[in-house]
Amino acid sequence: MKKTRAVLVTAMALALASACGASIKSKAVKSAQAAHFSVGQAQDAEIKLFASAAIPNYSPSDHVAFHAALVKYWDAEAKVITVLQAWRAGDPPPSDLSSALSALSDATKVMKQVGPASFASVLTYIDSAIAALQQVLALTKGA
Amino acid sequence: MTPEQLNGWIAVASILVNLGVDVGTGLKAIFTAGELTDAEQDAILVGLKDDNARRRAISAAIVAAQPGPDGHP
Repeated sequence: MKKTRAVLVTAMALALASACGASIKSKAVKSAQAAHFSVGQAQDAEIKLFASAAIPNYSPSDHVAFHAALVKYWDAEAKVITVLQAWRAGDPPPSDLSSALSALSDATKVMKQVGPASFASVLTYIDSAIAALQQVLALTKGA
Repeated sequence: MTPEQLNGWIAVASILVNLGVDVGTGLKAIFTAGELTDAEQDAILVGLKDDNARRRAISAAIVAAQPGPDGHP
């Protein structure tokens, strides 16, 4: 009985380890997709709100500053996407993924500083996505 | 809601589940069960790259159109 349980536990552990290894890139892609969607929502909302002058104390120069930060964000995201596309299934995470993610995280922080305060809830989603990517990296480093 | 928006919110919800945020037991089962195939990952990344370029162009145009000292772009 004990031997059967030990075999089952071992088999489950191996299956779990295999599944985790295979899903790391999948999780990273999902995270990148979530971050992209969230920032896209922020971009669309800001454009509409600015056009309707619905944001108090938000000047044209604030509007431009937000989009200048967005340009940097999209540039950083393009690098992350390129790294993810070069990541072959089954390989460990690319060495330059961490620095690309750090740049993306930095760009997000700038967006938070220059964007209207009412966007904080949307930007929280972005932080969640980046935190998830960092978790994936930590998981891989521990493997 | 467009299919793209729906996929986006599903992706966001998936991340929230991974972070331990309670989005409901039924939803949690859906979001944690999905494992992307290699082909699905590739397709998502291609789509992200295309939309990335489109969105960057929008923001870059707004920055380029900012008024100069004379009040014109």
